[in-house]
Amino acid sequence: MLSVKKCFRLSVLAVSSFLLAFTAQAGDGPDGYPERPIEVVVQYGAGGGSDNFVRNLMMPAAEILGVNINVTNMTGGAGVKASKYVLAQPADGYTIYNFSPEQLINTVLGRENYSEEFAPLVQVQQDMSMFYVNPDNKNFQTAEELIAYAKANPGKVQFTGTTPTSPDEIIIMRFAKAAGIDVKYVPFDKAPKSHAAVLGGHLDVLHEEPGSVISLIEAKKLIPIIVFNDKRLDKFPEVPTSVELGIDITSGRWRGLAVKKGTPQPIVDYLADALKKAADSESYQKYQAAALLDQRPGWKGPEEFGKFWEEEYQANKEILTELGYVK
Amino acid sequence: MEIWFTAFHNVFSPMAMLFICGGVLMGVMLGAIPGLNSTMGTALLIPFTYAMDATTGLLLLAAVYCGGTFGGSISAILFNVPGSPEASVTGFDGYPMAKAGKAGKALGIAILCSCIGGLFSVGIMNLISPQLAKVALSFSEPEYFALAFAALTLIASLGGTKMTKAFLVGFVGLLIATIGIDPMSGVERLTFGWSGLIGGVNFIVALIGAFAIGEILMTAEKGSKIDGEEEVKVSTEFPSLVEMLKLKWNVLRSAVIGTLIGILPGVGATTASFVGYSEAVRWSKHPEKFGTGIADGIAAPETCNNAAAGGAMVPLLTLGIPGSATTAVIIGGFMVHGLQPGPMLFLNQPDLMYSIFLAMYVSNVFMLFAGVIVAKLFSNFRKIRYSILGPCIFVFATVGAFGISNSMSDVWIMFAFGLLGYVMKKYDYSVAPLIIALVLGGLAEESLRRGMRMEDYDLIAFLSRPISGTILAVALATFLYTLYSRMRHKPNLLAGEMKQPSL
Repeated sequence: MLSVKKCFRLSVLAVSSFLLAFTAQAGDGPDGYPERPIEVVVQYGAGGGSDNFVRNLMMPAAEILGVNINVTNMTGGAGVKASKYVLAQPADGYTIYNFSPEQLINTVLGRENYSEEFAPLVQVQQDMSMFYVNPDNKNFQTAEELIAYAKANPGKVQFTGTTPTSPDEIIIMRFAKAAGIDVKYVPFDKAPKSHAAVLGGHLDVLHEEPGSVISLIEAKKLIPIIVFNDKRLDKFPEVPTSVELGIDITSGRWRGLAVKKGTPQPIVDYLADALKKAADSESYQKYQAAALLDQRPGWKGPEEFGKFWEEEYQANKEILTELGYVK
Repeated sequence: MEIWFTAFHNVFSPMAMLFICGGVLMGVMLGAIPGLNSTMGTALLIPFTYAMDATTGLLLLAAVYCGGTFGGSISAILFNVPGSPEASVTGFDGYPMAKAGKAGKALGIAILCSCIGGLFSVGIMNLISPQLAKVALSFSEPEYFALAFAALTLIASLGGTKMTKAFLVGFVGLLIATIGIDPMSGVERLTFGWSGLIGGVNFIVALIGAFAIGEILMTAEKGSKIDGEEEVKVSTEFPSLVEMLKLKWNVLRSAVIGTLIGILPGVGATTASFVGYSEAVRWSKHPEKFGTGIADGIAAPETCNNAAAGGAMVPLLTLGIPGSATTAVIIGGFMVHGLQPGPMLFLNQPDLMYSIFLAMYVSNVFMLFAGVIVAKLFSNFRKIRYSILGPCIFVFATVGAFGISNSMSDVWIMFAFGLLGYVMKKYDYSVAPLIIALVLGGLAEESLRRGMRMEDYDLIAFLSRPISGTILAVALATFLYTLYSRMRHKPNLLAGEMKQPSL
């Protein structure tokens, strides 16, 4: 029989070890970071390219960091809503943001101010832009035919992509300018609607990254006509590159993460390191290959990513001014 | 036939049945609780399905999806707080019916019609999926505009208030729908520099405010009288065969409309339920009774939204294009297993497709039970005195508004609409036109402007296309007829007072 005293001691021991196990669950980062779940904010809807990217990266990242990671989708207002939410949280590394090209464009348009608000974490992917047409399109089936047709019929060819003043519109307008053609851009608020518009033959050319329409390409319901890259893709060797066609545009959507400015540097470095490991994990690599996201080197560390923001901001500013969105 | 055997084997295994039934129950619960919905539920479940085999995981997601589409109507009927956007319209007639002491009947109609709508659309999808996908793709912007316009004209026929008042409220709703970033040019509109409005006014936030908060304020003003009116016992009461036969055309029409709208990419169950309600009003012999708590007003949206849930799976499975927010999440469920939904998957893995079809049949039938169970659970809350329940609904409404996009500004917008709803109720303005205009205003504006850009600003193109032309013509004709008959037979409807409880 245990004495009362012993019983008491044992239970104190049990309770304290229990408390130790569950509350003082300090991480192995700086100052015990992370000790509670981390939230990742995505400004796009669940199931889209960016959402898939974040969820697939955060699954291995949660294991590496040893805490839960919750992904929150906060759509609307070209990402401004999500940005404001992240900025309303403390700069402690427990809120991570899926920083996208929209934030730079929003800064150009005066809706946000990225350099004052966010600190770069890592860039993980460098995606590619491609144009697609419907196989039943009688006017053109290749990029050359498209350019020739557009020259003969100025303003008739209709392009589609997601939302106005988006990276999609910028690429389309840069392409039109480089090819010397005049086209129309009809944006949709959600990517699937733009796919359907081209599949249904209502619009002529779709801008999209290949990962989200790969099944439609394989089924020959969408014909890729150009890839904005310097070399052809192994998967689609018959599709010419922009460089081959004399159009010097190879930019594409990049995907990466940021935190609120003012987050302690040790935490930024620690997170960057953990995310690197997550990106190298088997499960993430598998997803990346399946979605054709491994075609170009996409990794950038915090410092490099920050420099890249600056360059991209300047480039977007010039393009948007040229296109007449900024006076 | 062999495919069906495999599907049967997949679906009727004990484990899969457990997941399907559990999934439906979970979906109904999530749907019923404001602030949680099936989109969120499926997103949360996806990491778990990673540990299952692909078929079981997808069956679970499909079950949660089916259940979640119905669940919201329980809280819409019992408390006038729709638990999910799909159930918004159900409260228009469901809550007045519950207030009149027939909550059990309202729930019974909602559950049964959901089941019928769901089964109808799965059946259609199962039989002619590829053909349906073609129909979906033939819809372009003019057709979308025609659909939204047709539903908007029905504001004139909605009962419960004077027509001029309904129009006034409808136009205010359309104006509010323009708040936010311009869908075509990206310019900010009517935000007054406040970032809370940059994403526009979410209609569900407005709806919770105008209905739930408005109702609480109104009841609080009346004092404790309401406590006496509370019915203590609510048990789900399925409609009799005779009652269902009266609803047959309405249910059939709604099932067809729901399935059709469901297959359109990017327009989901919520829009479907609004259009279904509008059409029920259009073809009804007594349109003025809608909004006062009639069976038709519950049957139409409930059949529609569940039919749309099935319909939304069509473009997902055949083209890889999600028809709604939840199906967009379900794509993620395919992808964690290395599957890419779309035409290739349909050809390569037909057994998986048929298993999903079969699971949706089973889910829709099991919904009858899950619905009754959860409704019973939730109706317990009605035993609580309103002086306690009111504040509880207040809290639920606040959490619900916050939960939509985790943003505090939505909560402030909701309170603003709560005050607006209170003032409107007090001066006998119906709230329903405001919500209808808010939901459909965005779709109408976008599709009109996009269509105009596509057709080089030629409005005739909208009328010369067969589908959009027909819909617009019918809408215009019934609209003019309504105006004419109201002015001729009941001139007081246009100008005078109507002695009917407002929505």
